[in-house]
Amino acid sequence: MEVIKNHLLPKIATIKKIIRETPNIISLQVALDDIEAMRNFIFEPGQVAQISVFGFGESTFVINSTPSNKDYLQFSVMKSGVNTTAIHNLSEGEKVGIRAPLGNWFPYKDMEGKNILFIGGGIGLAPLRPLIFHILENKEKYMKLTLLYAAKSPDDFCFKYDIDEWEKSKDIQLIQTIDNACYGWDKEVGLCPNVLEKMYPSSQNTIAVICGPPIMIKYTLEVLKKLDFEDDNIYTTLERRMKCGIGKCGRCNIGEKFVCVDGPVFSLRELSNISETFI
Amino acid sequence: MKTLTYIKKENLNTFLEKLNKNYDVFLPVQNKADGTINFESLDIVNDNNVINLKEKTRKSPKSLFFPPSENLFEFEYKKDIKKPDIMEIKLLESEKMISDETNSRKKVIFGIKPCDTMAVKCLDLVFGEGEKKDPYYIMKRKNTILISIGCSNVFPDCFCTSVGGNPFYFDYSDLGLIDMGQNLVIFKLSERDDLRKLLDECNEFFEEREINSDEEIEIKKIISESEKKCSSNWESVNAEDIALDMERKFSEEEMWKNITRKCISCAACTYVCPTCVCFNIGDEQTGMKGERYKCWDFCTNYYYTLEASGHNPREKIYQRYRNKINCKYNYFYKRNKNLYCVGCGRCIDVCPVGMDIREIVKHVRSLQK
Amino acid sequence: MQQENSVEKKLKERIRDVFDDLELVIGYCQSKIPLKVNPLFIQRKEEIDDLIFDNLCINNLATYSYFLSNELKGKIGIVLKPCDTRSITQLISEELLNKDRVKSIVVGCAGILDYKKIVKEIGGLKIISADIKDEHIRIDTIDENFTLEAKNFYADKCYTCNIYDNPPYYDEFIENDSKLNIEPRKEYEDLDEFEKLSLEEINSFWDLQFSNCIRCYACRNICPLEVCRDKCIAQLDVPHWQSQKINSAEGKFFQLIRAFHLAGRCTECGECERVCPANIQLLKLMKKINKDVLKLFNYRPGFNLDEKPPLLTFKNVEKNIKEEELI
Ligand SMILES: Cc1cc2nc3c(=O)[nH]c(=O)nc-3n(C[C@H](O)[C@H](O)[C@H](O)COP(=O)(O)OP(=O)(O)OC[C@H]3O[C@@H](n4cnc5c(N)ncnc54)[C@H](O)[C@@H]3O)c2cc1C
Ligand code: SF4
Ligand code: SF4
Ligand code: SF4
Ligand code: SF4
Ligand code: FES
Repeated sequence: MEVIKNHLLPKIATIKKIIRETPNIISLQVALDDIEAMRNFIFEPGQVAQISVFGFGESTFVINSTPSNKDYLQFSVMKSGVNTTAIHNLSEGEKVGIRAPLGNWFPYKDMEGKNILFIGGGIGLAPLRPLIFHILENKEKYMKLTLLYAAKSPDDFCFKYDIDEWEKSKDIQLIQTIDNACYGWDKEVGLCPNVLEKMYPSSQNTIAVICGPPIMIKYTLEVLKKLDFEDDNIYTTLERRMKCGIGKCGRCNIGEKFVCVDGPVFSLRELSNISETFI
Repeated sequence: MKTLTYIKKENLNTFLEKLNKNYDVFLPVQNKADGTINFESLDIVNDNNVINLKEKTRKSPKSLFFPPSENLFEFEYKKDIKKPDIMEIKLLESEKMISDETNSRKKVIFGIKPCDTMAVKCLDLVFGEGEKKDPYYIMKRKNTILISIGCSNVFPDCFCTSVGGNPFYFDYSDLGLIDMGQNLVIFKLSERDDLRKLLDECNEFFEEREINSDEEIEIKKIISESEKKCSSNWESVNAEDIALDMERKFSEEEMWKNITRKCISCAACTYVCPTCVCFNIGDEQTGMKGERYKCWDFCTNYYYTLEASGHNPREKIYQRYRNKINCKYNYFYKRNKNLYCVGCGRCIDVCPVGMDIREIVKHVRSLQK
Repeated sequence: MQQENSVEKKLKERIRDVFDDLELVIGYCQSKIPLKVNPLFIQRKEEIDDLIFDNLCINNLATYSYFLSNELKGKIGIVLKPCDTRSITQLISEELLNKDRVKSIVVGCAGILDYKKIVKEIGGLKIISADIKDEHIRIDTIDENFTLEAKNFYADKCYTCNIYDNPPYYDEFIENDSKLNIEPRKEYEDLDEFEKLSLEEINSFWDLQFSNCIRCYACRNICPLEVCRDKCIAQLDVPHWQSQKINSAEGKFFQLIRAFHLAGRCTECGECERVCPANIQLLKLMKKINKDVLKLFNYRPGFNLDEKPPLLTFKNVEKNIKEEELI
């Protein structure tokens, strides 16, 4: 008899390491208990996972380690509700359930030969991280790389270890900004869209990828339009409440699209064809 | 000359009883106390209720494949004495639960109406197609034989002819019967092996003879009369056009607000609808053991899209009801070329405030833009 | 199409008179479904023509008062039967509704027919067409016809109603020339049988009832007093009170929460029972609790604008509760 794979059944994984990113965000490095499965685990930058703490529920997170890393998967979790709080209460060595990879990914092949402008806000750097890693690993195929990373305050930047490295790197230009000036901060100050407007990046042969809270996406898109970026050249990731992650439960729809299977990565072109507002 | 295979109606009960020996038979059963009709197991038929193949059931048969709630798997935490602060977890394989289902007896749904079989097709397209399938559904579905009786009676809220079906539409039935007074005549027979087997097992009930021209005319008449009646309940809608129209009027916020004012955003319409597929997933735990379940959910409720941050993309009733209508007449048509309303009229029947999906669609379409 | 009756005419005239002060008026209109009516939201004066008022107007339109008054800025007119005003009164007394935001346009009532009773009488058959004449209801189904005597099919509350002609609360009152004319019954007389049951019997009665609940929340959402629909603990994730499963245990739990949250607040309009697709006898539960509240606190919901429901207030000494006897 034909065996149908049960995509609703999680695989058990162990938390190898927990990193505190900001006061309310931690990163987990987890490895599937099934060694064979871990070794063969393939995912693309932008894909997501459903992480369970059994008894509390399941929530969606971007896999933000680099796809070439076969030792563990990394997720960054902001404390916001039942399950995320349960995740924050776990310690190294404890178990979670994982259903992954789910969703689509950034079309990094189509981005070859182009300049790429990454724009991230707060935890919104998480989906960009695997993409940036992947592109840096294949640097020769891409042109100029720029990252604009915005956060409320210096404490709210995630992945400080990456930032330190990218700051030193010649392969990517890093611009950091915080909402309000504060003591000891010598980089940009101002909201992401304003800083972007000041940067005045050229839209020539450039792809923009934005991830962050809805409100930031909304205003940043306006600036990108002003800067003449075409809808085809702007990508973003969207969030909707998710349950099944496999296009069955119907919950994550924006118009006729399901975020869990048709997304979370969308080009602005796709989104402008949907009547329902996506922000 | 064609032949006519039929089962005498006077033998129907013995036929069903025989069927029930090898299969789990579900059919429309009417509760005598309050008159409601629902799909129930033949086993529960007793003095308090009666089989009713004429009228429509209150709830749709979807719960037989897609139960209101069902466990996906069970889990158990275990403490390891050597590592006291770490909990081990064990999952009870859901595959086992699923295969239990496969080994159980086959189900027969007897007397399922043609519109409901179209709805089963809608469920198939969601749960049973695509790259990732839902095994919980498929196991139940594969195990079920659908025996339909065409609708010689059409009710005022029936409108299957408007949405691509008709009262004798048997494309998704395994066996299609026509009620000809004394006999139930086989009109359509699928190629399913298990159906052949079923018919062989019960072949003493089926009689066969040549069809005479009067009967041929009568069958045609029964069909055309029902069709005519049904199509007078609503205009015929062209799926493509209606999807386009929904799309075009999507942003008419004022119109949507006005036509949904009376909706109280309950689940009555969703939970009786044969095609509504939305579900929720949740965990429950007592002590060290627990389970993950899936259960019905409805897109017209406030919590459906409420996110952890407090942000709610569909905060207002009109936004949610608009989603519902678009889901049926637009989104699913775009996704898999199928309307997700089969015209059964159940939602019209149960709505506490008289929302009539036909009127809504008509209203949307009549808006000039 | 039915003939316009005299009270309908008066109602329309009155609404035309007051319409300019109102942002919207809620009333009744014809439904395509026999023996049912629909709520009508009037925003333009010409829509007043669609208004009807007859003995099928069972819906309690007070249901819309809370949510609409929060959504709209202007004043809302609502067509109410005298018994429906109890819900408005209750909302005002609980400070859920601002008195000045709604205009209660109350119409004298000659009793309303209970659709569910009728359907039950004809064995659940689908009604193809029906009409009401001279206190008789004529019904056609697929292959049977019925003629029922209307006097047996009024809503339960009509048989105990003593306010049909003198509403306890109104802004506008339109007298009805036809008056309620049915054999009255004693209040809560229908509970007598039920109260004789043993605890086990009561328990199994409710278990059976609630095993049919599909958690559609129609009862909660139609209730004029359950303004909590978007904050209901039966659906909340945080805190997590109740599983979302649909089964008899959860159905019972949900209904018990409902019952307690409405104890001594329920205005016995019967909407919850009317809308339940599972035909659960919700009103029986509400009435039983209300009867106890009446006995203990001498309080009848929906009659007094200034008095708070006893279970929303605290008194050091309750006259009818002998605490020493409880210990
Ligand atoms: C594609 C995608 C990628 C995401 N990536 C990340 C990430 O990398 N890091 C991160 O911290 N957060 C991410 N989120 C948001 C994260 O999924 C929610 O914050 C989380 O589900 C809240 O769960 P909870 O149980 O704590 O919240 P509760 O309020 O208790 O919510 C209950 C349930 O609702 C659902 N839910 C509630 N809010 C959301 C939401 N915003 N998105 C999806 N489901 C929700 C979940 O199923 C959750 O179990 C992502 C969301 C999506 C859709
Ligand atoms: S349309 Fe009717 S049944 Fe459906 S949610 Fe609205 S009020 Fe409830
Ligand atoms: S939307 Fe209404 S008429 Fe259409 S299939 Fe569902 S219940 Fe039937
Ligand atoms: S509980 Fe039922 S009877 Fe009581 S006020 Fe609410 S809807 Fe009316
Ligand atoms: S209306 Fe009936 S079925 Fe629906 S939640 Fe209430 S009691 Fe349950
Ligand atoms: S999460 Fe279930 S359909 Fe997308």
